[in-house]
Amino acid sequence: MIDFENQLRSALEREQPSEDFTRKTLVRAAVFKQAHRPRWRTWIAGSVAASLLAGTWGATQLEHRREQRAHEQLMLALRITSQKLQQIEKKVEGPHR
Amino acid sequence: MKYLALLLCIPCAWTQVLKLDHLDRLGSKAENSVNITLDSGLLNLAARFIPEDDADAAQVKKLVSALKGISVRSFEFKNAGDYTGADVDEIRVQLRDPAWKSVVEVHSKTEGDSNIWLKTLSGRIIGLALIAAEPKKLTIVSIDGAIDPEDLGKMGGYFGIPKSIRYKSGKDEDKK
Repeated sequence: MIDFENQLRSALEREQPSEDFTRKTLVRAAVFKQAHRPRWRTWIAGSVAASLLAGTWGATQLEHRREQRAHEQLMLALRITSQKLQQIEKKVEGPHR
Repeated sequence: MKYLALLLCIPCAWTQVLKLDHLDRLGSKAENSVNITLDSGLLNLAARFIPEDDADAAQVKKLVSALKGISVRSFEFKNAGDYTGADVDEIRVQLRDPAWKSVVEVHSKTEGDSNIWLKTLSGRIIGLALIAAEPKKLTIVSIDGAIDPEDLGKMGGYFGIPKSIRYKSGKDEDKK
């Protein structure tokens, strides 16, 4: 009987955890959390990143098109101005040639 | 009081831009039309595309960088009389402002009227307006901003500014 009690006491005796117990626990918890992370979060993060990328590309393209259009308009404006100024000059010089 | 009025007039002269909006209605009557309005922001954008390796282009870039706006309205009509004198008069009224000086006036019974005005401030050209009113064509150009006559002179090959306009600047008048 005493032997049995000793065995029981030994079995139920408080034991100190190993030195790396805390680290192992945290690592397992992280792995568990990673494995059970909801997929929709990944999808949303991916979608947001893709949207930002597409938005930036679109804005750059739009800006480039605006620049190109402004340049075309400027050249046309200068060409019309130049033509008209030269026509007027010819008219002014015409009778005195 | 006189100085106060003068001080008030200086910013007015700088900010006065010709209003050409009333001409937009002619676009539907015209066979071909050009409607360009570029403010300083768009001019800066446009100037980025002008190459700097060419001397003439570099001059254009310099000229454009000093401008605050360019407006062009050009119409080609099928028939004479598709636009009226009243359409042009609305612009001429704006050009009665003392800041504007008529430098070229050409009248032709067959080819219509052509006029060029320069806006000057303290001997500097700060604007150019052009009206070419032919029987079937109407072109209005309004350039707002500092235009150096020296630059205009160098622009001959690229921009085609005639000499007759260069020598009408305030600077030249001052020299006389």
